[in-house]
Amino acid sequence: VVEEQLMISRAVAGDVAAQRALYDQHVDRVFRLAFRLAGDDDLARDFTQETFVRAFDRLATFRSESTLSTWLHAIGVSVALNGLRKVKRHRSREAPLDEALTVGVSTRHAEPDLKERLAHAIAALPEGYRAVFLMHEVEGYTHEEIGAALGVQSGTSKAQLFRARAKLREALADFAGEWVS
Amino acid sequence: MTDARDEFDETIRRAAAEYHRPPDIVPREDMWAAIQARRSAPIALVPDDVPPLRATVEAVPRPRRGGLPARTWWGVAAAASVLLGAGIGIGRWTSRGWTSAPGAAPATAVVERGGRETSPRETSPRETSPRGDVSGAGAPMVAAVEPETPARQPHGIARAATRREAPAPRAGGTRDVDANVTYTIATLRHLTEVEALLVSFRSAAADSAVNARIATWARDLVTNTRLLLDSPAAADPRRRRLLEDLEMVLVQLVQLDGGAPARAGAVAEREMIDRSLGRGQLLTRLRSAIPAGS
Repeated sequence: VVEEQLMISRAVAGDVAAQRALYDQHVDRVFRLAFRLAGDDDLARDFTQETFVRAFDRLATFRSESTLSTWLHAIGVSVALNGLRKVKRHRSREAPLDEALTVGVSTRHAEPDLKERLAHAIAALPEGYRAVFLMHEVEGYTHEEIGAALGVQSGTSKAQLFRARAKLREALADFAGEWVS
Repeated sequence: MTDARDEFDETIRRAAAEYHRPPDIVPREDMWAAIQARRSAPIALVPDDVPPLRATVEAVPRPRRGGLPARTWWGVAAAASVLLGAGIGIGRWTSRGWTSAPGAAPATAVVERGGRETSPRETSPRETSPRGDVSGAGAPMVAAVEPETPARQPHGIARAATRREAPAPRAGGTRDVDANVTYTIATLRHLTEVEALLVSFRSAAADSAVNARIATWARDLVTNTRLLLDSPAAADPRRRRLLEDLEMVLVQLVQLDGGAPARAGAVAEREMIDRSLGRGQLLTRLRSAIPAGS
């Protein structure tokens, strides 16, 4: 922590090596999350770059009330969600009817089909639910981290995850018998 | 029942790991280079009271629940393009009218680059820049044009000169900076809008209606790009190259003919445009040219 504080001070003072060190420390996780949310390499790069540009510009205002990682992720999630809204990435991905009719025909093909249907179902989740689901279930963030990144209480994060799971179960109900039994 | 549900949740969680799976290798160096480029982008010419450039994009209504429909967004974008084009055109026209009064033998006060003001008698009309290029290196800059015989001038120019008689003539250097700032702002606004178009193009579905809108939007921007290329805004070689590359891509976008949805070439054209964007790193260069945080 002390080392990170020192690094932040140097970065604020304009030390590019310190900025690079902070970047190297956090970029992978920020990029992964951006990619999970965007599903597109170019957009994920853009969001990651924007996150760090903003972070370095505002680093002097960082007060160490949270960890740098949490602060960066709060910026990253905000950038990604705003960016996604801006470029209308939330396009509808509802499964066509003929696709739905093929569900459960063969157990051997169930897994790839489930993944495809799941992708549609996740994309169709409300923005907040989707972010919480991906951060917690896929990227392993804690509810406290998610709450800090999204600017909500950790209880809200838990509630949204609960609802996201319920929606996914509902959307994939026709798989349940096949996989659970 | 709970066990079964937990098991199904676990199945979903495992399958979700494949959702938007990031690449194993994070493009650290590329992103770092882009970040450095954006952070070192020049911002000195943009005055403090200019609203953030990205506000242009933000100000355009975004599609949201209960918000304005997507059609409005395209309409506003097209209107903004036309407005920007008209602004640049008027700026260039008045700039020309300001400095060139054919046959009027105007008396001019000339300020040399060093700021020394010379007598009007020292300068002949031929010494003024023929294109009204206020930033022309080495050329004397016209500080004021006061026609001795306004009746000999075309009406438009006479009016333009009359309009400018009211304010006291300013030093040529000040106007030079003002003009540069104006062109810089116009260019940056234009680049912001082109960025919005390119991002929309890359993210939008490839259907004929979208293609038609993009082509319409691009058509307006091509005109503005050309106007900027012919203006002092293109004096900076790096900016000029960027504008030229953008013009080429915009022309390609104009070719996206929305009227022929089944055209076999439409998909190939989109791929070609994508390749052009990638090859020239246009989006990265575009963003580098737009000041960070704007």
